[in-house]
Amino acid sequence: MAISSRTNRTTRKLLWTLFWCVLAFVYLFPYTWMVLTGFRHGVDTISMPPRFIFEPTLAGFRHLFEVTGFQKYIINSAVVTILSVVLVIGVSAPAAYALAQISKRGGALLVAILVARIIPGIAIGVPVYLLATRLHQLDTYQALVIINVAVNIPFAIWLMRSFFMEVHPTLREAAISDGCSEWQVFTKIMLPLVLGGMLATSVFVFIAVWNEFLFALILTTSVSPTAPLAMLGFRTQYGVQWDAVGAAAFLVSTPVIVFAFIMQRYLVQGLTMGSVK
Amino acid sequence: MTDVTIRNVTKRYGALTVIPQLSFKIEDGEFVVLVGPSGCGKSTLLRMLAGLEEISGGDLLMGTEVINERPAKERDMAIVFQNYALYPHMTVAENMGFALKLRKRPRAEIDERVDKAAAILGLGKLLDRYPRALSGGQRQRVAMGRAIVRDPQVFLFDEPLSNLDAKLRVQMRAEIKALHQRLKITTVYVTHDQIEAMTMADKIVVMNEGRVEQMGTPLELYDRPANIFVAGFIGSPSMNFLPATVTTASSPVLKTPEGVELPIDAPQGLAGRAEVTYGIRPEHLQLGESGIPAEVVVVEPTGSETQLYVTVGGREVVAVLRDRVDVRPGQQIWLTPKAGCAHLFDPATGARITG
Ligand SMILES: Nc1ncnc2c1ncn2[C@@H]1O[C@H](COP(=O)(O)OP(=O)(O)OP(=O)(O)O)[C@@H](O)[C@H]1O
Ligand SMILES: [Mg+2]
Repeated sequence: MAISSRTNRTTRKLLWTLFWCVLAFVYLFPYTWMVLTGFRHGVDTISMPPRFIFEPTLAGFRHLFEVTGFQKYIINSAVVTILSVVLVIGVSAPAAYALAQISKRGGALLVAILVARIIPGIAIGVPVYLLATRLHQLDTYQALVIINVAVNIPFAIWLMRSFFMEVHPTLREAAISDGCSEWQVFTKIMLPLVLGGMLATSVFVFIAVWNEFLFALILTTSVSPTAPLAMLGFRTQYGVQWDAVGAAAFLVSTPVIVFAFIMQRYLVQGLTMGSVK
Repeated sequence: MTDVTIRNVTKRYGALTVIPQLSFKIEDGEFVVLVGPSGCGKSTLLRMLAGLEEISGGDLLMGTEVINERPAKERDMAIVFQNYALYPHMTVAENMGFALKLRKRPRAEIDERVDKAAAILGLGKLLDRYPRALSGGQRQRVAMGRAIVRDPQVFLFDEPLSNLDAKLRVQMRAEIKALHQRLKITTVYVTHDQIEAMTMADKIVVMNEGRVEQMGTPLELYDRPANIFVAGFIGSPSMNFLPATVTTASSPVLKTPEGVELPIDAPQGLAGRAEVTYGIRPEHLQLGESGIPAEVVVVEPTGSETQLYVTVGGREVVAVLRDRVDVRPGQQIWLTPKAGCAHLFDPATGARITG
C-alpha cells in the first residue's frame, strides 16, 4: 500500500518533470537558435541538415556596428523607451489612484479608456502620420514618445488601478483625517504601498515600447529609427544576412530579459495582487 | 474641546435616502454612544462628522460655528476605524506621529507626544515595529494612539473593539473609558455591543433607519424606553413582548389573545384603549405563587444565573433568574413580574404609554 502510493507519487513527479522539460524546450529552443544564428556564418545557418556544431564568429556583430551603425538605433530605442515609460507611469499612476479610490464612476470611464486600446495601431497609422507631418514632427523623438505614451496609458491605468484598489479605502480616509491633501495621500500613503505593482507595470510598458515597430516605421526615417527597424535593413537583394539579424535580435532582446529578470520579484508580486496588506 | 451639534442633517446617495433628518447635540466632554441595527447610518453619520462624507442637507456645528464646508483636515476630529487603518509601511511611531509631521511640528515635539501617548497605551516597546508584526489588540492601541497624539477636539470611534476577542474587548473597554475620564475629550462612539453602550456612555443615542429613536443616559433608556424599538434594542436578552387586549370592569384588566391574564400595577393611560403591547424584561420575571402562568421549555443554567425559556399561552417568553431553580421542561410554573417593571406600548405606533 505504502509502496504503491510512493511509486505513484514518483511517476507523477516524473511525468510533471517531463512535461516542464518539453515546455521549456518549446519556449527556449527558438530563442537559443536565434542567438546561435548571431554567432554563426550565414552559410552555416542555411545549411541542410542544420549544424549544431559550428565555428563561432563575431562577423554578424561587426557588420552591425561597423556597417549598419546599430549603436544609433539602440540609443534611439533607449531614449524613446525610457522617456515613454517615465511619462506613462507618471500620468497613469495618479489617474489609476483617482479611478480606484476617489471617483465613484471610475468604472465607466475606464471602459472608455480601454476601448481606445482595442483599436489596432494600423487603423490610426495614416492619421498619425498626417498629424506628424503637419506638425513637422516626423522623424523626431517626441513624436514617437507621444504616440507610445498614448497607446500605453490605457493599459497602464487599468493595471495600476487594480493595485490601488487593493489598498483598503479607510487608509485614505485615515490619512485625510490626519491632515493629508489628496496629493499627499497619493505620494505618502499610496505610492509606497503600490510600488511593486508600479514596477511591474513599468516592465510591461518597457517591453511594449521597446518592441514597438509599427509607429517607429511610420514616423521615422533617418534621425530617430529604433532598434526593431534596424532588422529591416538586413533583407537585401542578395538574401537575408542571417548573422546580422541574429546578432541584432540578440542585442534587442537582452535588455528586456535582463530588466524582466531584475523585476521578477515585483512582477510575480504585482500580478498575484499580494502586494498590499 | 467643544460641543457638536447635528441639526436637521440629511444624507442621500443618489435616490437612496440613508438619513432622512437627524438632530441631536453632543455636549462638551461627553461620551456619546451611537447604537442601532446594521445599516441604520451610524458609520455614515460618523464619516460626515469627520468630513469624509458630504452632508446632503442641514448643518453640523462645532461650538457655534457651522462646519459643513470645512475640510476634514481642518476639523480637528480624530477617527478610529473598525479595521484600524494603520499605514502598513510606517512603524508604530511613524503611524502615531504622522499627523503631527504633516503639520510640520518640530521633531522633538513629535517624539515627545508620541512617547507620551505610547506610555498611556503601553506601546513603549513596540514603537519600532510595523503594523503587520502586531497582534489585533496592539493594532487597536496604535489606532487609538494615533488619535490621542493629535490631541483633537473630538474623538470618533467606529466599532473600534469589534475585531477583538471577548476578553480583550472587556479590557480595552475599561481602558477607553479610563482614557476618556482622564482626557475629557468629546467622544462619539459607535458600537453594536449592548454592554459597551451601557457601561461606557454618558449618553446613548439609539438610531434606526437614519432617525433617532431615543436619546438619554443608559439607565433612562433601560428604565423608560420611549418605544418598542428601543425597549427591544436595549437590554440583553431582549425584552419580552406580549400582545394584550384591555377589558375594563371596575379597573382595567390585560389579557393575551389566548386569555392569559397579565398583572399590571399602575393601570394609568389605559382608558379608552382596546389593545396594548405588554413588555417585561427577562430579568424582571421571578418564580412565584401567582402572576403569569407559563410552561417551561428549556432551562439553561450559566452558573451565575439561569435562563428559562417558557411559553405563555403558546408565546415564547424568556426569564433570567438569579437563583438556582429546580424546574424541568414541561413543568407548569408561575412567573411574577417585579413590581413597577412592566412596560406598556401602543401596538400601532410602538410608542410608550405613559405610566
Ligand atoms: N457609498 C454609498 N453609496 C450608497 N449607499 C451607501 C453608501 N455608503 C453607505 N450606504 C448605505 O447607507 C446605509 C447606512 O450605512 P452605514 O455604513 O452608515 O450603516 P451602519 O449603521 O454603520 O451599519 P453597520 O452597523 O453595519 O456598520 C446602508 O444602507 C448602506 O447601504
Ligand atoms: Mg458601520
